[in-house]
Amino acid sequence: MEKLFETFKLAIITLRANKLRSLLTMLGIIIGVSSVILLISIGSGLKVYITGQLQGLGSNSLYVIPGNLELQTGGGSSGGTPGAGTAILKFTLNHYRELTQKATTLEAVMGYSENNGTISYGGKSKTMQAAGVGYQYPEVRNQYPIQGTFFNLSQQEAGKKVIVLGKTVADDLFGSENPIGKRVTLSDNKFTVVGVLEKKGALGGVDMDNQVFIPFTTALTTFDVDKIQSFWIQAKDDVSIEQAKEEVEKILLRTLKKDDFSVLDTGSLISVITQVLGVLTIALAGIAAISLIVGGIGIMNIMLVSVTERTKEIGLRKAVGATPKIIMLQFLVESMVLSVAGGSIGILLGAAGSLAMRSFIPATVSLWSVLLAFSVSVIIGVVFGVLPAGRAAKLNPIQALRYE
Amino acid sequence: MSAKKPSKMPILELQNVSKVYQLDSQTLPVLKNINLKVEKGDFIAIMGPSGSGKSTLMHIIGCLDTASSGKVIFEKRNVSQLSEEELAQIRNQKVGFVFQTFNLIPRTTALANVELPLVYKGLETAERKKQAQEVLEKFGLGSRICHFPNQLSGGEQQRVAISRALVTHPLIILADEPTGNLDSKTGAEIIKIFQDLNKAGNTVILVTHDKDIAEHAKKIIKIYDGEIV
Repeated sequence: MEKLFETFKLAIITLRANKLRSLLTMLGIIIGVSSVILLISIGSGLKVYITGQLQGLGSNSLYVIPGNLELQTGGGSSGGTPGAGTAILKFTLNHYRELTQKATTLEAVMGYSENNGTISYGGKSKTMQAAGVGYQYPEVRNQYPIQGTFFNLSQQEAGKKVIVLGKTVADDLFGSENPIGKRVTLSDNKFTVVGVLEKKGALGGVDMDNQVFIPFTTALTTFDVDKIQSFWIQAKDDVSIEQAKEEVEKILLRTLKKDDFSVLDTGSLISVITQVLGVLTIALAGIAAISLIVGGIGIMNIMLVSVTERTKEIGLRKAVGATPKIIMLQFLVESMVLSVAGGSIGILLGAAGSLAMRSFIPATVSLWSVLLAFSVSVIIGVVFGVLPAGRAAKLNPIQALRYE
Repeated sequence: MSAKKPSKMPILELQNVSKVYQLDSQTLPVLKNINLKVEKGDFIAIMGPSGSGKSTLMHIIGCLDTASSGKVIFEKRNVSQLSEEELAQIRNQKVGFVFQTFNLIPRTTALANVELPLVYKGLETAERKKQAQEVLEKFGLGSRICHFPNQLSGGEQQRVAISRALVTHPLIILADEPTGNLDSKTGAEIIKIFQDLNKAGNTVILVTHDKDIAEHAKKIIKIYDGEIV
């Protein structure tokens, strides 16, 4: 132990004698470790965020999205807005009516569609997202009007041209003016503003208040489409979610094929998203880990140079009694100090970066990623240090002493 | 280093030692049938022109190199049967090397350079520093212990190197052209050190091509073309 500490001290002294070189050598490891730490923390942060968002919707919620999710996982990975998948849209107003009228286990059914539109008022215009939603939207998203009201069931059923503005849109178009009752133009149609929603803030850098809401029934005519992108369904409190799911499937199967749609509950949605995010995180971290290998090669390179440079010193050390084992250990410890110091700096930088990300997502540096990064640095130090250290240990003392 | 009466027990014995270097397909004989006895208290000068094999002979005596054939007996042990670790231990504790080019480790203090053999011997830090300092002070380097090699004169560097060779109280001090890189005045001082060391009971083997220096030794062995003449 005492000996190891001596060797460690010697390594520090040697590396400090070449400060710039040591730092540059560590750079590869620093970059690799910090990006692995950062990516893993972003990945887990996203997972926490999205899971939290979905759980906020309640455990008795169902989503009906087009396409078979088992065949087409990509359709379910679009975060908190189900229905933005790539599958062919098949849902019509008839499906909505059947679900609301014939089902006995369902409390509420809400159609959902996303469209890009331009809204204008008084000479000002703005491009944003126009969401076709159900009248239950405020309860679903826990976001209520601060001015006016949300549209109601009868306005939705009649396909009235009423519009609820997000806070950003209201501020941009109306400024200090009261927008309630005003007429705005959305995609060549005149709409009456009935309400303004409270501020929700940004989600992953996207301003969630830069959108407007119209009844999904109205959206079909306004944007000239005949399909609804997805349904959000709330089951009755006294039925199990499985029962509700079965009934929804039964009703839709009367007119649709099994592969045309998927019914997801919050739990399965979370598990799908978690899976996709997990794979994505590992893939990205894996790419970042390549730079660790490059960093390791950098360490090996500089250690080989160091062995050559110090050939005479190695010869002298052998002449005064160093065994090959001791020489081997000396160089191995040196390369490990390089890689572990680089790894530690990388962990700190990655943690700092993850802290900076906190204003966007709840990124956290997990203990396991730190331990992983640390042990990978140790392993790199050993693996890429063995060749140079072995070369030093094998040097013939006489030839080494004569080396100029 | 106490001045005991020289006993006639050989520390080292070379019996029919030959050394051959293999260069590609050519074999190059460097030493031929060398027989040599080194006894405690000896002061031997090995003399010969460059290329005569005197350095190789010194390396074999110092267990830095092994003989191609013949027997090297170091303190009753047959060197050719010893492991790499055991040879390192002999170099560490029984032999003290002094080189022409000093071979101090750069960017390392005089004290740390002298400490080095004690590190490999496994001494504790405090004890190491104490012993190294004592030897350096003995050679008049008390005020130089924290200096780096490039801050020392040639004579001082060689005295640090001699301190390093002596710090483990070796059985044999091997000096390979120790004055080769020094001016004649400093060289004479260094030779004086070796003479004093021998008077104090140390066994010294000096390799040189310089007749004047060799004459300071008690016994001169001339080597020519790999053979003792």
